[in-house]
Amino acid sequence: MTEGSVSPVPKEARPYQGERAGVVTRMVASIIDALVVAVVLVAAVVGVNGVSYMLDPRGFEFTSAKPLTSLTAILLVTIGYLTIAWVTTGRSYGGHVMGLRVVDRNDRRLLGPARALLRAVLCAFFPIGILWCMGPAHRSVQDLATGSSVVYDWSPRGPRGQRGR
Amino acid sequence: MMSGPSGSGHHGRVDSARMEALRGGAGLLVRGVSGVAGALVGTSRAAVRPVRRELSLLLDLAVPAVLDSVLRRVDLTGTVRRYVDLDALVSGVDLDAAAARLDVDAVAGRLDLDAVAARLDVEAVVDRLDLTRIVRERVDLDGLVAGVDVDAVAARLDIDRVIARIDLVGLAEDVIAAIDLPEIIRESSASVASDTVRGARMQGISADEAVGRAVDRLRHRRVRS
Repeated sequence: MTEGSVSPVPKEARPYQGERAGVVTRMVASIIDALVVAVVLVAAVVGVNGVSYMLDPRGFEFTSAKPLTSLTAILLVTIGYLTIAWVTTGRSYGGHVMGLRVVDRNDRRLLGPARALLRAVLCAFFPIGILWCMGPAHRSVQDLATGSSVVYDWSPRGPRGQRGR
Repeated sequence: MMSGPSGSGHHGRVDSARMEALRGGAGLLVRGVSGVAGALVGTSRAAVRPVRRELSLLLDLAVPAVLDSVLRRVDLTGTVRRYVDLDALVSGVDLDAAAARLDVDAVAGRLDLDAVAARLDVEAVVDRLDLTRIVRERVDLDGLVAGVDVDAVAARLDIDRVIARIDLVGLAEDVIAAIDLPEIIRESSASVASDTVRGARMQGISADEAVGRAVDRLRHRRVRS
């Protein structure tokens, strides 16, 4: 929001803007993100098989990835997706739907690539850490580890041009 | 010795009295002259004294009459104007001392100030004054304005006429340009695409608060037990 402009945020939501989000909203956003990752992976599998079919229609066999490969792919896609989202706009698609943004705990700026990557890794490997934000401070394990906060922010424009480490 | 013309009754009485005096004066003059002659001849100083007194009486009577008669026949104003240097005379007068002796209050009391004021050209006086500066320096404008009933003034305002004079369309365009309304509309449509999303977000916030309250209650219960 620039000074002097009119806020696009509805009146009833304005008092919550900038406050730390609770566990329900964050879990819903995480589920949406998980669905996005799933869709991407399914699309990737379908794409690989489609290419394989087009290259050799007679010898085509549907190839499903091995568990370890699938898990690796899930983790890599999740980490890459979340890192890029948090570095560029501060929020993933789930965060966009639920009106959340990941920012620095102190100066409320966007996370830098390193911290965003660390946070994404922690989210991918220890998703249950989100339950820590049921506490009064609304901080998950990922927040505590990376010095970040997840806040309500319905404004589409984030802290533009500002980036932390 | 000549007497003035005797026209009216009053003047006639004055002239007859004057003639009587002159007649007496002539007698005195005769006696005086004879006395003087006697003195010149060689009479004593004691004999001259009564003669001198009579001569003095004669002059007291004769001089005013003569002077009056002369002045009546002379244009004294013209003569003074012609022979007297009035400027030199006036320059020798101590006007300050004369003014100091003046009772100005008494003079002012006799003046008809209303008539004087009526002759004043007030417009010309006002034109020469810098009224703006005088008001700014000498008038307590804050106190003046504080005493004004602004509500009453506003109540007398014809707001419709005021609004009619304003270019509302131009004003609205300026406001829209200043707040970048198109950008706000774009942001609004991008951020809150639908009522469903808005509803989901608000329900999420409510659920967060509910969970927060429940967790707080549980924690308090544990602390008590």
